[in-house]
Amino acid sequence: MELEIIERADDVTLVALVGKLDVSGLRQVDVKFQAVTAAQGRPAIVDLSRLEYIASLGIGMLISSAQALKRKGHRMVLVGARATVDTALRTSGIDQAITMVGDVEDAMRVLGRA
Amino acid sequence: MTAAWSVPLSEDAVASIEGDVATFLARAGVAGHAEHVGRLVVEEIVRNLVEHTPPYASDETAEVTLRVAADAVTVVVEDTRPPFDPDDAPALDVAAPLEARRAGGMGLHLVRSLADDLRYERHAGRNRLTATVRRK
Repeated sequence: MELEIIERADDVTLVALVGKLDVSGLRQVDVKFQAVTAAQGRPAIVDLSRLEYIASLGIGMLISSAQALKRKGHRMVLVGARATVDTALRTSGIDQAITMVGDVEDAMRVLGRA
Repeated sequence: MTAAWSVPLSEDAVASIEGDVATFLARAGVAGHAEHVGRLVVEEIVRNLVEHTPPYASDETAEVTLRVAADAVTVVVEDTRPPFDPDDAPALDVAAPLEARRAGGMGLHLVRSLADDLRYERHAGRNRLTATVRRK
């Protein structure tokens, strides 16, 4: 499991979760993910297009980080989830709490950066 | 194809088998929805057992069996912990706003929602949960 940090010049954090967000994967990225999203004072776009697996632990990581960002007045947007990951997220109702869109351009529009 | 694991009730043990479960499903040709949900059922049910097992009982095990047939993946989890039917767990409020969400409590909801059939039995001091996921 890897976390790729993609630098942007427009005050938005863009990160990609790559691999399997199971128990082992979560242990590899949880602290770093919180550091590059929740701990930053700017919106975050999380690219899920290369995320192969997620269960409740990983969904909890997204919720915790999005809540911390919201307390700072910022939003998280999830983009590009594959069908299986998308199903798990929507079954948990995450789409009711965190905006999910198809790609980074859509996410930038949601954040008013387009 | 069938595979079975005896999993000590600790999070480390859950982490140690997840790769084996994924490898077994891949070798059996299971992909997509059935692969994802099959893995998820194992992870969520055993982790739920771990969360509700006191440290003095952590040497107990969950017996996990995966069976792959042409039309479905079946996951069976057996344990000797107190009786617990996942259908008795509180429902998850999927419409709750972000600030009201908890980072936990979603695992059994996912299992109940994504498995095509879920059957709980208590027999001879053992819980047995059988989840069936159709291969679509």
